[in-house]
Amino acid sequence: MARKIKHIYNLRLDVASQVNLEKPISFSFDGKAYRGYEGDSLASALIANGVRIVGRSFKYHRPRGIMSAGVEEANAIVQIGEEPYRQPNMLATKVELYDGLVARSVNAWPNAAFDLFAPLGFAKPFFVAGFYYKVFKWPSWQFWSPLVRRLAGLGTAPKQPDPDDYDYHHAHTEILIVGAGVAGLLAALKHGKSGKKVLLVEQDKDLGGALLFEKCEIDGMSALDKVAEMEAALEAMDNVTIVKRATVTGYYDDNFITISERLRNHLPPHVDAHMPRERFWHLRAGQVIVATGAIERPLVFANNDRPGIMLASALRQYANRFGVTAGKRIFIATNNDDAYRTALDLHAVGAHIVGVADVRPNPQGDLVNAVRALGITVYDGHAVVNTSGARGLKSISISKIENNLLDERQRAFNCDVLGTSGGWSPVVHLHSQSGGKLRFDEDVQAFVPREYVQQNVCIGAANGVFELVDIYSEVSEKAAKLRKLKTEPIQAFWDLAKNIKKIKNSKRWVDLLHDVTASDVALAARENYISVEHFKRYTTTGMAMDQGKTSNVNALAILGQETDRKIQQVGTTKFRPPYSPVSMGAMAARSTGALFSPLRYLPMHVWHVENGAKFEDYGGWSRPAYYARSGENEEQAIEREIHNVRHHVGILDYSPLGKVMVQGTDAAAFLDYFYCNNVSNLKLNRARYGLMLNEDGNVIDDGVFTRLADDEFMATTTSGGAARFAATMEEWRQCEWPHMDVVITNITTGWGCISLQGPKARDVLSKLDVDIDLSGEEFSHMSMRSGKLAGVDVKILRTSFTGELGFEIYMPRSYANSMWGMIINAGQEFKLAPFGLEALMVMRTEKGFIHIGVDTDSSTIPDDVGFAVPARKKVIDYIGKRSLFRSASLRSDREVLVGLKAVGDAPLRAGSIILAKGHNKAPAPMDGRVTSSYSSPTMGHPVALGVLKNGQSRMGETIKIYDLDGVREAEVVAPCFYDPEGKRLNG
Amino acid sequence: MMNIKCPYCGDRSEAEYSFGGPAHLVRPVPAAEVSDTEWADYLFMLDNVKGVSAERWCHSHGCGQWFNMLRNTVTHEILTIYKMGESLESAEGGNNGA
Repeated sequence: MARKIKHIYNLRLDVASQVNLEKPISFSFDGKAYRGYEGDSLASALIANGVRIVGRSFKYHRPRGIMSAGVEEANAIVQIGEEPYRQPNMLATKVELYDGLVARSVNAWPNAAFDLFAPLGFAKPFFVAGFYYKVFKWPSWQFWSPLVRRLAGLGTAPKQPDPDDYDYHHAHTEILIVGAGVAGLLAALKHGKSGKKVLLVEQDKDLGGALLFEKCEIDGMSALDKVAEMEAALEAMDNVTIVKRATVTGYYDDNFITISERLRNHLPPHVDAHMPRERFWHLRAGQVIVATGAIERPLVFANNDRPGIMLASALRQYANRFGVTAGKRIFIATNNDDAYRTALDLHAVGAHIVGVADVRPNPQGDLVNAVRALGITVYDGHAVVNTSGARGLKSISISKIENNLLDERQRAFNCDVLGTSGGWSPVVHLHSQSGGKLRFDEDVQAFVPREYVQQNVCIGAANGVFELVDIYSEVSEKAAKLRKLKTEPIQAFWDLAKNIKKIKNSKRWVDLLHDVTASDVALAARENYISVEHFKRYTTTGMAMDQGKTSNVNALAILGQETDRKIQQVGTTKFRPPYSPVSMGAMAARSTGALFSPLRYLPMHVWHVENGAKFEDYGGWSRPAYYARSGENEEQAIEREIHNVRHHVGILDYSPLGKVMVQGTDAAAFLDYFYCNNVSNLKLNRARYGLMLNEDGNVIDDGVFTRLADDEFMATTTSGGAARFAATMEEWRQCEWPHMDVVITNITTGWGCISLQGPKARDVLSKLDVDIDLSGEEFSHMSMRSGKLAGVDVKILRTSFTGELGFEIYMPRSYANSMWGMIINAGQEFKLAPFGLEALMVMRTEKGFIHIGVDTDSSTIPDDVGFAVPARKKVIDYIGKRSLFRSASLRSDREVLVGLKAVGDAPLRAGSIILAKGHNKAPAPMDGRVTSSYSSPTMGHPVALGVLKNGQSRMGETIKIYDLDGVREAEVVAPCFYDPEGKRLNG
Repeated sequence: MMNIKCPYCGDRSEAEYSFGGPAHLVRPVPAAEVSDTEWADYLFMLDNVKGVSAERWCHSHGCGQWFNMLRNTVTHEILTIYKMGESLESAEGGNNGA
C-alpha cells in the first residue's frame, strides 16, 4: 500500500546552476515569507520552498501546481506587486524574482492553499461544455452574471492610476529573428555576417533557449559556454541588435510585428523608475525568421491536474537551470524519447526515478537504453491511467496497452512528481498569424508550417526539427561536433480511457487553464460542435491568455477520435495575437490622461483663465463655457452675459470657427457643388449663409461663405467640422473634378477670430484706429471689409449668431491676443464683457439659428430647416441634389424645424419625445422631438427648438411632450423667438 | 498593418492612410435625368468584393493625395497602385479582373 511521503521543504539541489546561492532574496506568496536566490524565477523559488498549490482552477477551483517552466504555464497564474503597481495575469514561471517581491494566487479565496470555493469541484455537472449557454438560461444571464463575474476571472486590476510610464517604439529591420535558442542564434550569426541589419528578440532574460538547461556538448564545450561564445560573436557585430525580455506578440500584414519588451518588470517598483516599465514595439521587418522553438504537450489521463504533475522537460529545466527538484520520488510517463533526458538528468542530480511508463512497445533508442542501463525500470507498452492525492500527487497507477485498449488491471506507484511528455508542438502561432498554413506531420505527431504567404520562414523546433544535430544542418553553414543519437519515433497517444469504467467518468484534463476535460470534448462532439471553430468557442478550449499552448493538439486529436477523423481533417483554428498577454499600459503608452485626446487651446486662453472662465471641451477645443464672477452660479453668469450682449456688447473668442480658403479661377464653380444654395452669383465682399449636403441629401455642415475676390472665397464651417469639410472638398477636387483650377487651404488654426456682438459693437470698434467705414449704409449685414484695425491687417465680417449687430474680426492668430486686449480696453465705457459658449447657445436658440448635429441629424434635408426654396430653386448641380428628389425627401409629413413654447416655467428637456397627435401618454407613436431647449432671460419664458412632423402646418397647436418626469405641453411656434424681423442684426 | 506604396511618397504604414471606398464609381449626372434606381445604385449598391477589389485610398497623414489601389480583400495583397485619373488598364501590371 501507499507509503506516506514526508514532504521535504527544501528542494534546492546541491548542484551548479544559474541561480546564485550567494545572493539570497526574500519574497512572499499569499502573505507568507519565503527565501529564494538571485536568478530564480518565482516558480523555481516556490518549488524550492515546497509550495505545491499555487492556484485554483478556473471553473472547479481544483488545487493546481506549477506544471511547466515557461510561457506555456496554465496553472501558476499570479498577480505581482501591490496597489498601485499590481499586475494580474502574470505567469510564475516567467516572473523573475527580486527582493521584496509580493505575489498572490488568483481565483482562490482567501488563498490558494485554503480556498472556500473548493466545493465547486463537486459541481462538475453544471460546468460541462457550453455551460454558459445551458445553465444560466433561467431566469436570465443578467441574473447570473454578477455572481459568475465575482467567481470567475484571474486576478484584480489595480484601482489607482498606473504610476509608471510606458512607451511605443517604432522600428525597421532587414531581418527579424524571433527566439534566441540554438536555431535563432545560428541564424543570427549567419545573417549577421552578411552585413544585413538583424534584430534578435528573445523573451527570456538570457539567450540560449533549451541550451540553458539541456546537458549536451557542442564543439567540445558545454551548451552554456557555446551560448556565451555565440552571444559574444553577435555582440561584436554592429549590425546585430539583441533585445532580451521581449516577446513578439503579433504578426500582421506585410511583416508588421508587435513586440512587448519588459524593461523593469524584473526590478522592484521603485528601481529605475525614470525608465518606462514596458515598451511596445511596432516593427516592420524585411524578413522574419521564426525560431520560436516547441512546447511539450502533457498526456491525458484521469486526474492529470494534481500538483506535482508537470511537463517532463520542465523537471530537468528546474534541475539544470535553477538547481531545484519538484520532489523526491519521480515517475516519468511518455510516448517519445525526449522524456528520457529528464530521467537521466534528474538521476544525475540524485533524485529517485521510480520508473518510466512508455506507451511504445519495446523502444530501443539510445536515450531509452541509457535509462535502462541505470537500473531504472521502463514499463514499455504502458500508460498512466489515474492518480491520487487531494492536495498534491501521492501515487499513480499504470496499465498495459494491448490492441489499443488499456488493461483493466492497474499497477500503483508512490511518487510525488510525475513528469509527462506527449510529444512536442512547434510554436507555430506567429506562422499562423502571418497567414501561413499548417500540416499535421505524422512523423513528429505535431502541426508544422506548410505554406508561407509572407516573407518569413520557420526554423528549428518551430519547423518540427527537434534534434540539435538536425538544427545545425538545417540552419548553420558549418557543421558542429555533436553526438548523433539513435532514436525511436514518437507514438500517437491521446485518450484511451473509454473501456475502463473507473476512469471513464473521471476528469481527464485537456485544457488546464480553462478547465476543459476529455468528456467535454466528447460532449461537444455528440452535440455536433465538430467544426473546429465552433468547438473552440463551445468548449472554450485554447481560448484566453495561453492561446492553447499545451491544450490545442490534445483537444483536436480527441475531437478527431470522437468523430472518426484524422487530426488534419479536424484542422486547427487560426492562432490569434497576442501570443502572450500584453499589458494595457504598454498598448496605451503615452496616450493617457491629458494626452489621450489632446485639447486645442485658444489664442486668448491665458486671458480667459485669468478672467474666471470655466472651460469645457467643445469638439476638441477647450473653450470658456462662461465667465464666473464672485458670488455667481453658472445660471446667473450665463444670464448676465446674455443680458450684456442684448443690451450692451459682448466679446467672444471665436477662433475655433472653421475657416477654409478656396482660391482659383474655378473657385466659385467648385463651391457651387458644395452648397445647396447659389455661390457664383455672390457679389464681391458679400457673404451668404449656406448649407452643405452629402450625396444622400443630408445636411452635414453650415457656415458663411464670403467672396474676397473673383477667384477667392473664405468659407466658415462649424468648429468641429473644419478638418472634415476641407478634406471632403479635397477628395472631390482630386477624385471627381481634377480639371478644376482650385486650391483649398484649411486656415482654421492659423487665423484667430474675435466676435463682437451687441448694440454697442460698432461703438467699440469705432474707438479703435480703423480705416473701414463701419456705418450701416456702407457696411451692411452679411458683408466683409478688409482694412487696418489698430494697425493690424484684418478682415471684418458683419454677421451674427446672436441676433444682435455683430462683427467678426479675422487676423493671423499671433495678433489675436493683443487685438483682444485693445478691444477690451476700448470697450470699457460701453460695458463690454466677455461671454462664453453657453450664452451663445441660448441666444442662437432664442433667434432660431440651428446648430448642426444638435437640431439636425443624419436624416435632415434642407427642406426640414427652412431651406427648401434656395435648394430647390438652384438650377446647377450640387452634391446631394439628386437625393432631394427621392420620394422620401418629397414626403409632406417630414419632421421639420419648429419653435416650441413650453407651458410652465421650466424649460423642456432636450431630447424628449413629442407624442403623436391624439396621444396623452407614453407609450405612443412619436411625432418628433425637442432638439435645443433653454431658459430664456431675454424672452422671460423657456424657449426650445424641435423637429415635428408636418410642423409648418401646425403653428399654434398645443402638443404633448413626454420625458422622464411625465407629460409636458408646449405650443408650436415659428422657430424664431427674438426679433423675428431682424431689425437688430441689420441695424 | 499593410505596407502601402504611395505613388508620391513611397512605402508607408497603413496607419498613414485612409480607405475611401470603391474606385471608378461613376457619378450619374445630370440630376434631372438620373432615375431613382440609378441613383440608389450609385449611393448604396456597392460591390462588397471578396477577392480583388479596386479601391480609393488617401495618404491622409502624409501628402494628402488620393490614389487607386487594386487589392485582394482576402489576403490583403496589393496588386497595383495607380494615380487618380489613370485607368486600371494603363497601370503597371493592371488587368481587367476587377
